[in-house]
Amino acid sequence: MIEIKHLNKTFALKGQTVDAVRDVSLTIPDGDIYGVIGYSGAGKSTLVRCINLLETPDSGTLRVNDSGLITAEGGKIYLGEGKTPMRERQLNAMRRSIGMIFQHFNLLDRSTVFENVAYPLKYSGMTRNEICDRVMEMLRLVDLTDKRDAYPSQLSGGQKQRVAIARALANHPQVLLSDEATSALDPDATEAILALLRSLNERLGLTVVMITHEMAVIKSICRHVAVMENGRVVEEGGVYDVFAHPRQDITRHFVASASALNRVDKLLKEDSPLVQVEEGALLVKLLFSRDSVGDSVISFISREFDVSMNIVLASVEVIEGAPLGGMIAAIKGDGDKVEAALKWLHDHHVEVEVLRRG
Amino acid sequence: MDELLKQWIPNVVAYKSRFFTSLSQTMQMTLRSGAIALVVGLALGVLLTVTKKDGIRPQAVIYRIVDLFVNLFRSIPFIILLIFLIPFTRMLVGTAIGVKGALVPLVFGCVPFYTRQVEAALASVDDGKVEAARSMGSSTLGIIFRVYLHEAVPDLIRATTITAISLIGLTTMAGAVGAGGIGSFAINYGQNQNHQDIVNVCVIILLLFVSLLQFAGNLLARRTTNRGLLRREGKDKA
Repeated sequence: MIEIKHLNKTFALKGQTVDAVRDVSLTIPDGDIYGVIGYSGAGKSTLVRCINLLETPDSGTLRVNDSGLITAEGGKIYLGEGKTPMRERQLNAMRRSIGMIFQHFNLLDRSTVFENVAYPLKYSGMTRNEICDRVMEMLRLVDLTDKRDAYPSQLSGGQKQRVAIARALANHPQVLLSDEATSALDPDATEAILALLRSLNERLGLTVVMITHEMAVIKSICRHVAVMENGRVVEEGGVYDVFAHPRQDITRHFVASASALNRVDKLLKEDSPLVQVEEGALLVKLLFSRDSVGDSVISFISREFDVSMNIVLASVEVIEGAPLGGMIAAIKGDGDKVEAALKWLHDHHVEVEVLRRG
Repeated sequence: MDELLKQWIPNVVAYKSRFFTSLSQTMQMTLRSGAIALVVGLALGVLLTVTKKDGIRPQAVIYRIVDLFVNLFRSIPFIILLIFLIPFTRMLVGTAIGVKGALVPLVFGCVPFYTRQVEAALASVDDGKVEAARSMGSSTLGIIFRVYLHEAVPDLIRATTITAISLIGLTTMAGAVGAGGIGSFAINYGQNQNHQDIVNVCVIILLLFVSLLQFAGNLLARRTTNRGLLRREGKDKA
């Protein structure tokens, strides 16, 4: 478990102070895949670097697995009840228990794949044979045993990131921090790396903290997500819930970027012909969550309430294995039939939002 | 052969033993001061890299002292440095003349130049690699040797080549403190006695030295760059 409480980090940049992380508290359960999303400069990278203490927080506390309580105060880091700041040696020991991968892989160009993966193992008290076994174990894990003697320049982006993952996991850490690890990859490689991370999470019980600016990444593998803006976590929760009910503007924006359904906001703003409604009709947004998808509600209400529905936009997302469907439709009918239909939908766990009245 | 040499470069043949002594003096000065400068320059270059503001161990005071030393000695022309350092040299090695006396000013003339070159070579190592090493719990020494120096090897070889070439240039001035060498041979026996053939041979010898160094440096730098890529290119050709 990673437990962050009231974490603050300020940078001095050209005489100005920048609050990179402001009073952030988060709890990341063991074995979770936890996403942190935000625009660049939102502080997500700094936040994650505070977890393995690459950055020294100004204040706040931190606990990573069985690290004990780590307190930051006045630019120094204290462990447990300790009165003296943590030593370099202690910091390094802690960092070895947390793996990290990066956007630009950061492999050593003059070392082979094998040597790169062996990097964190050397001088750790392991014998040459143990190191060799461990490196091969890691390369099997990421399916790159045939590239052991290749140099990074001979690998594709996706392969480089797999080497980086093998290297990050070589010390058998329980936590993997991923800093925009798929942002420099093409869509296929992104897909493959995300699938690998998910399978490592399942097979090893690895806790993964993903920083990204792409909601698609969150949607595809995360279970929880925190949305950051200006150094603060402005929204947090299960990915399905955040997708179904984004509360903050910025979250809505991110959700819209990864879901066809939310494009309606754009259409409404542009006053597109698609969203024009006749007089007496209503433009509604229907959201079908876990409980309601699959029922043939549309044909049912058309028949039962004698209303006509004209579907403008519809999509189904699969998030955390559960479908999240939505539909934008113009609905028209006599008298209070429309209202009755909407009430029926509401009673059957379909969320209804009236976007426009004709 | 002897006849031919006598015909073409009569004065060099006449002063044969002095010529070879000068060659050996130049060699000695270059190799001995170069060896010291290599170690000191590498150490100072690493020190600057590590202690700079966003280095892995920022130490403003140390950085500023080294930086000042480097700037100071880089701005003094070598011929002035030679005589300026005479008292210091005498104190340090007992004499200020001859090859031994020239070593101290040569080191002082060469180290600041080399330090900057090393600093530039290390600065070309991607910060991301250093950060990755930090995230893996690598110690400061580990990062210096296994990331900075290791990744910068080709650049360091190039820097060393350039420095060695400029060092040969410096040694030709060491004649001013009686250290001999090719430079003073060319002036005393060539220019002053109006033996143009001696000057010409000295120029050719220096040219050969420098070309050889440059060739060896380039070869080594290429050999150490991205070994995998080179190997692949080799295979493609085969």
